[in-house]
Amino acid sequence: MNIGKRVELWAGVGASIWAAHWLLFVGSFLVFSSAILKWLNFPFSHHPRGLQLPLLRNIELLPHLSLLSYGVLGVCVLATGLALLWRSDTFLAVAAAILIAFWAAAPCQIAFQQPALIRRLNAETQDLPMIRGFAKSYLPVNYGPAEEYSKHFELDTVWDRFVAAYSFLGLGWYCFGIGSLLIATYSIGRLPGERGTTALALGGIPIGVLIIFLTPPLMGQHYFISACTAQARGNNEKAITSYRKAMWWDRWRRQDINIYATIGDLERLSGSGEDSPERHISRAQELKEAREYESAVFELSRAVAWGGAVAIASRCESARTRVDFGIALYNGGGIGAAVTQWQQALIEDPVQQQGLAFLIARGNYDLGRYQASLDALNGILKASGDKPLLANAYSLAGDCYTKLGRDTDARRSYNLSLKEDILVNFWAMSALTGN
Amino acid sequence: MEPFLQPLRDLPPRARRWSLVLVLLCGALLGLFVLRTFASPLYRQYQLDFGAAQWIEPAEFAPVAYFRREIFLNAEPEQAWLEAAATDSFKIIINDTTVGTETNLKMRVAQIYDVKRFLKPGTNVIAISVVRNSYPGSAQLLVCGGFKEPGGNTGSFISDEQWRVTPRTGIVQGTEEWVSPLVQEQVWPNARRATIMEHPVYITWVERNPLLLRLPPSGKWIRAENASREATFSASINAERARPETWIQVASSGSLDLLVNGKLITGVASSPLKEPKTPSLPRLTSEPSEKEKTEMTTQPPAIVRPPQNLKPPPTPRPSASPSPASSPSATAAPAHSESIPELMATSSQKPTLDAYDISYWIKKGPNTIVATVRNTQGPARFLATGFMVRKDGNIQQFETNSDWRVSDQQGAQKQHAVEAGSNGSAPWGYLTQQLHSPVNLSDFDVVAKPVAVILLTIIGTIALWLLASRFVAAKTHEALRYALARDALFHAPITVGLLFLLLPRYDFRFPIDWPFQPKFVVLAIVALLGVRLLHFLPRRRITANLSAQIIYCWQ
Repeated sequence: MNIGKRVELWAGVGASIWAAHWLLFVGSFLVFSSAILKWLNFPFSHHPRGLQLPLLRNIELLPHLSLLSYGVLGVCVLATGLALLWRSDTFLAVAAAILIAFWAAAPCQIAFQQPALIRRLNAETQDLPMIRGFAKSYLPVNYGPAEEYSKHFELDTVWDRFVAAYSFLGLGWYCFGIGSLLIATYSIGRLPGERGTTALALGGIPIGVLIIFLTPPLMGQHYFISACTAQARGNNEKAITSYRKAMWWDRWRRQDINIYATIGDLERLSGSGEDSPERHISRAQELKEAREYESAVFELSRAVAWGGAVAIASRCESARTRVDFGIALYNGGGIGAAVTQWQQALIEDPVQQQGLAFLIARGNYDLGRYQASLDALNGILKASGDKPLLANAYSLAGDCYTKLGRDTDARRSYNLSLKEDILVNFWAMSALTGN
Repeated sequence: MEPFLQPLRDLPPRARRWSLVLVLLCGALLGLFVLRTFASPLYRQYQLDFGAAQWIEPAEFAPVAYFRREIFLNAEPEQAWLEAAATDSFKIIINDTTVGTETNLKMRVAQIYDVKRFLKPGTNVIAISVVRNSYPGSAQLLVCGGFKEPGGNTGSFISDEQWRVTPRTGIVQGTEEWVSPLVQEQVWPNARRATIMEHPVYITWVERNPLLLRLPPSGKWIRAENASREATFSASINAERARPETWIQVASSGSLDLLVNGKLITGVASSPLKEPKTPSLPRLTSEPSEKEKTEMTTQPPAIVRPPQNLKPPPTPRPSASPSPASSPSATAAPAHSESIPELMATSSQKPTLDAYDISYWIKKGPNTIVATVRNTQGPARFLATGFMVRKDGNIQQFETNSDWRVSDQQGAQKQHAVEAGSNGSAPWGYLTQQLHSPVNLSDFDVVAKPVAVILLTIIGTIALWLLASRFVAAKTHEALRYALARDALFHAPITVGLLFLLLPRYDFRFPIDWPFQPKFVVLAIVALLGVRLLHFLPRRRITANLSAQIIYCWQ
């Protein structure tokens, strides 16, 4: 048999195999490749890949490989399903159902199980214009048109949080979902006997997962609405009880500083809970609105001392208060004190306040602490995945090197800045050309 | 169910597929109309009435134009509003403060503003820049406004040939900004009446009912007799029908929770005041250089840019709190010896009069309004004013007064509220009016209700299709599958009609909720029922052939 005929034969066999199993091939390829694709799009942090997005715990500042990640588990489940395919098609169908369950669980987990993550995503979205604007106002030559970021999420309802979480999902999640659905279609088509009944039974797996994820926030929302209504009717006791039930059910509510402050307000008006953490938080909110930031931070530190969920929420709020305090100090000319506040905020809440590193770097530059500014910028360069932000960080690093007399490093930084953003990067361009 | 659906299986696959698609599409569209008309209506929009105002433009061709007009007031107004419409985009600046901007290319954008806080006694400059980008033509403007002074004096202004306009400003370096009252208006050319080819002239719709700003301010500040810091105020208003257009404007001395017939309209826990806000951008405070001053005069509106490489003041202030200069809106701690109005004035921010459209929650007969005010630093006070549009188009107003009932946290006993001054009285004077949307915290309203309404309508449409087909098949003694296929086809014109009705939603000449009127829903349902009479048209050969052709085509 000559080569031509042999190729023709193999091509025929390959075509028939492809025609019979293309759903499985394409689906498996998508699921496997999703492990190395980005699952979450952070506004300016590094985007975690499938292998780096943990299933059970919060994602850290710098994403790294996790054995219990969506990517690893997805690959394992699919590989097991494929390995057991020779024994029964049902195994592959079960694997597909589990993959679909993972796929449905990802946005639910971000929205309902990991309040810190959804807050971080939202905070980065809101901080992005400030950080970029801060860089833009640095040099008039870099002052372009005002950037508009319409992405603002309402997070009042369960649906709102789901939509917000969904909007941050990346290509990896989509590939994983499409691949899982293709494999499910393939495996259901090969199921013996009553396909419909088996498919319905297997559909119970993702539906069950959804129910498990959705029940607590829905219950929490129910009690939250009850609390708001009772509060509007002037029934403070019932409102406080309902708020506490809402927090018990819903992790999101458990870390919502507004609810603690509202309970504190109600307790204050009722004359109860003299030394409760909620009273301290309520007092802190009031002080913050009156711009007495130090007193507000002190009140929050007393709430932190109680430990538990209230401590987490108070610590985050304390960090936010320090950010505001730093900005007020900066605007008043107290740059050194502002930098100190921002550094403390970063210590209190290193994950949520990551954008602060840029402000710290800039503050240190203004103070003539060029090496400290470079240290802060290194943190940004490691942790950020946002190109304009990286370009600005490199440009600021270039300015620091220039001040330190390290012209070669400065030139390298400006070039790196241009590499990140060449279109409207007047800062680096003008620095390189000496204007 | 099985025998009920069996005829569907008898249909040829292609016919079955297309029949189902047609019926499902029709059901889903009808469901959308039912949802938006009855269950979850869209917000209302209004067309502004400019009275005798004229469209004006510069004397020479100019796609960018700067209009201005001076008005004189004897005192701070208790009420002042301004309506503006312009080609593509406009920006209104009163006394050097931006009131608002609107942009919508290829349209004549319109908006209405509450401008009383921008006006002061003496000469006031109303400056409006208009930019026309969309197609050749001069920038054109239409303005109508009015004000009322405390003594009862009223005044109005409209756009006419008395307005001044120029396509360029800052021709001479060092002169005043074009919005400044020091500008010699006499040297500016007069505007001319615009030549408009299109008739009638369509302007965009606005979301705020103009009556909110045009009706004279009303309502009394009320409080509990013992001036408690927490009080629940309640009243009942009668409606002659369900869901009449109803607006309420509320203000309070502290945090406010408002319920209308048990529905939370605004609440503290969901209030944006308590939301963690993005900190404002730190800006460099510096004097602009001469070069930039030149740029500002040649490039209105002026943009203040910091000079190149300028650093902030190098002397850090390690003070614990920012200086008062850096935080102008900082509030001082209240002194205990101050009187109550003074205490409230200093202890909390000036309240605003927030407007809500509560039409959807108003039912026929008595309607309960409950508002709880909590103020940790002074007595709880509340002010509400609103109106309801009657069937005959007249307005039925309601407001807070001593007829309202009040109860505090401890005492369930309700008493009459005590009036503590009218709208406009000390310490806050006349309040700035703002438009708000009622909060929606319910996932049932956001997700479950729309899904349920659309699904139920689809199920109803399918049930009607199957039942009608069976009835027709029985009456006409033909095969059920023919009746099913023909009946599914009858859904096509209804679907097309509903799709056409959706189009005005994207046409700026119509308000956004125009397609979603009860008459259209009723019309669609009647058409869906009535079109089935075609089944009983005299059966000629052509009808039989048509049935055969339909089946043949779909096979």
